[in-house]
Amino acid sequence: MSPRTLIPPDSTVVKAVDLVKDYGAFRAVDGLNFELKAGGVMGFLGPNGAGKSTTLRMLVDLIRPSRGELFLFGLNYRSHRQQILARIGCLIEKPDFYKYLSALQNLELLARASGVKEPRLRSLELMDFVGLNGRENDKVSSFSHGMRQRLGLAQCLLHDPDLVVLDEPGTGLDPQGLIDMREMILNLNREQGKTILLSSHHLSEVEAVATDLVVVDRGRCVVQGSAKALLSQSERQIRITVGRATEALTLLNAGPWAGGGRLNDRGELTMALGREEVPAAVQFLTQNGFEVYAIESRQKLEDYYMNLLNHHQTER
Amino acid sequence: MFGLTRLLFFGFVSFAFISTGQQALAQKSAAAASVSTAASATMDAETLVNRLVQRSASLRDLAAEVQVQADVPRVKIRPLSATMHYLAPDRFHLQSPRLALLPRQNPMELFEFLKRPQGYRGMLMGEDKVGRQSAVQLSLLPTGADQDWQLIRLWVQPTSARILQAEITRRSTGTVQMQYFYRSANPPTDPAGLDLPDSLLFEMDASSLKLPKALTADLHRGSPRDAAKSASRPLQAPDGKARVAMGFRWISKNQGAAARFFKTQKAG
Amino acid sequence: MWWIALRNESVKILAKPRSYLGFLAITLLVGVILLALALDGKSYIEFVTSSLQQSLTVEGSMLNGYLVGFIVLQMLVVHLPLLVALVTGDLVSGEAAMGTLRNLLTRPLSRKGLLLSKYGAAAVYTLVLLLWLGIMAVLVSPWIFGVGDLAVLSNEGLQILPSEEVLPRFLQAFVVAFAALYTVACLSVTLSCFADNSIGPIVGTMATIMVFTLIGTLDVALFDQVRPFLFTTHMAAWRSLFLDPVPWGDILFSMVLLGAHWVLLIGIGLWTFERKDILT
Repeated sequence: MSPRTLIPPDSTVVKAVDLVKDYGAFRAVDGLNFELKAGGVMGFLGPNGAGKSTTLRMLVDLIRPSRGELFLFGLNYRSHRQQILARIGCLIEKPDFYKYLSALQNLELLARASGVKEPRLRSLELMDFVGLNGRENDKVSSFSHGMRQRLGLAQCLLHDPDLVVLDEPGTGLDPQGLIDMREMILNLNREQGKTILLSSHHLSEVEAVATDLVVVDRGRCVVQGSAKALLSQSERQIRITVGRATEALTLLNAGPWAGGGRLNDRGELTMALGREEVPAAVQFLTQNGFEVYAIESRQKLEDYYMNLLNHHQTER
Repeated sequence: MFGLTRLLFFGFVSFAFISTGQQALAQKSAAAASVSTAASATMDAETLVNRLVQRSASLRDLAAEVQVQADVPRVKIRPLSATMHYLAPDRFHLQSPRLALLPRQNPMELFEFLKRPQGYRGMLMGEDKVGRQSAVQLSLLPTGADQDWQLIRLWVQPTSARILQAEITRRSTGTVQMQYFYRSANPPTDPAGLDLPDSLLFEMDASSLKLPKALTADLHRGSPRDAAKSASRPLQAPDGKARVAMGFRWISKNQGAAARFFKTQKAG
Repeated sequence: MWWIALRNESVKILAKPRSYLGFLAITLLVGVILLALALDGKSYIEFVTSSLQQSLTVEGSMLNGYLVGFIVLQMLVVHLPLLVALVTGDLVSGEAAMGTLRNLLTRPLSRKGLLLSKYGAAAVYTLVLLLWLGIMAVLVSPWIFGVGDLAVLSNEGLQILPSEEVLPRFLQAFVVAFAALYTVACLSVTLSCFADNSIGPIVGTMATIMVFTLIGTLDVALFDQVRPFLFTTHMAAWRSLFLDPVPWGDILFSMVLLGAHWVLLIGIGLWTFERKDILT
């Protein structure tokens, strides 16, 4: 393993400059720019086909960019591949292991490949960290999906990386598994000081841990910034549970709040309103014969994200 | 050319045993040629057969160190040394750690055959030469109709009744020619004494010799054209003859060594 | 690091049940051949020498352990490429299909180093498989049938080699056979770099061998120039070690040509793997 260098706080761990990846005529990533500072947890979001996985694979050198530059720890893969990979741990897509080997054998093998000095000891330590102690000698083929996800997290920590790239780590986990995964990510970031790049469709999980956000769509960066700042700057979402929601939306769009409302996937009416506008909106609905059952004021990542993508896709 | 090849080939085997004797034989036989020609004129077939029978009659038990070299088209085998045991009438064994190619008939078969004159009748066919030696040619024909052998031709030195060359024709295996070489120029003075050759050269037709094509075809070495070229190019013996030369160093003659050997073998 | 990667590859091959198929197949096939020859070997010898035995007789037993070993080698060297490809064709593409290639390629190990360790592991596997065949052919057969001079049939005819020369020739033949089989291994690992499934490289390797063998066998003048340079033409070069005299020039040419195939195939593999996008 190459010698480790300490990362100064707020130094740039990942910097993507005009990153492009073409698969034949299809452009998966189209001039993507983003930065990740040391010590943060970056939520890497985007709809299916947005180019998230391709970008993450480029980050760990599984895929070579067609154009653009990618710097990790200020270095690029062309000249410092091994030095960079010695500082990155990743769990890309699903955790795949040699099914004919035990969990411990799998970790030991990968630890050796990572240049870990005491592979067995380190593997046992991490099996304990991810809560798989006692299952060391079981074949991976006997593991549930959740256990494999935990083992996947363990394998990416074998060489004590500075940057941990996690692609959908919560896929297939039960609620308790999701909570445990969240706790482990927070532990890695807060207790062990690791920088984390997290891609997930579980927006509530991302919201719980992310300090920074990057949203990509169609291979481009839609927005990047601190999670706190992005969520506070955005308009507050008011969720109104109302009878005949579709008719209510039509009415609102025809009136003073044209374009401000939409129906979410549960059929609820959501509107981007200032706090002072809420009583007027409720009154408008009741006066027009709609029954308002509940009003919820919230600013969740999910709403922010959906709103952002709607706007972006409408603009395009 | 062929004669030279044969001479070289045979010379290899006989070198250890008869190189010096052969020279002496050549010189003496040239001197004796005029005498033997005169003697053959007065000899009839019956007398010659009787003398041959008398010489062969005492053959019972032989042991010899033998050097064998086979020269067979499309067969490559190195010369080898072995021990030979022969017990009359037909027990023959070559004791060798190596594989050996020998004629189907055992080397003493002719002597054994000559012991039983009731099975054949002889006819003198005139004079001939074997190498530079004068000989009379004696043909033996079977008296019975159901014999496998059809004709035996012998070239015999008339004065000593020493067999110089023989040719046996069988229905089953065709014709085998044998040339007899002796270290001593003169046979034993006792007319009943064994006169065994020091070297024997068997020669037989091998033009019909075939090896299975399925096993010889080598898919990976060149094209079938190459294989065909190779198959039509014999390794040795361009005249299509197979030859086996045997050089003997007699260990025991009629002293029971072979009998003891076969007894041990049976017991073993 | 290369040694560590090689060790890892060896651990995987050892743990994979598929790796033992080759050993099992060889054991079974050799068992069948030995049984058949023990029961009916004399007929086999008679068939081979029937023409010879019309006027000559072979003193001593042609059916000995060395001949049986040679027959075993001759029969099984045809099957070994499949057994080799079965494992080596899976070394890259199998991992790609399983998804484990991602784990490996995100380790601080160069792609070249990783792929070379796979070529190294392929060499070790080929060698061990060949050694197993060697043990079965050259140790087990003589143990059952005894030893003696070796009678070998070739295009040149029947050659009988003294028994004391046979073992050294077998050893040299194994070196040449290894060179040929490792070419197959290199081919399948290289094809494996192009694929993301296990079957493709195995089928590809066997198809290549079949096509090249066909080209080598068809008596068409067009192929005459190509034939000496096909690796399949030299797959049985080991048999030349049993000719007398040994055609060292031909064997050297075969070894150089097979070595050139290694270099070419490994070069293609490295070039491809270095640029390969891991999408699985």
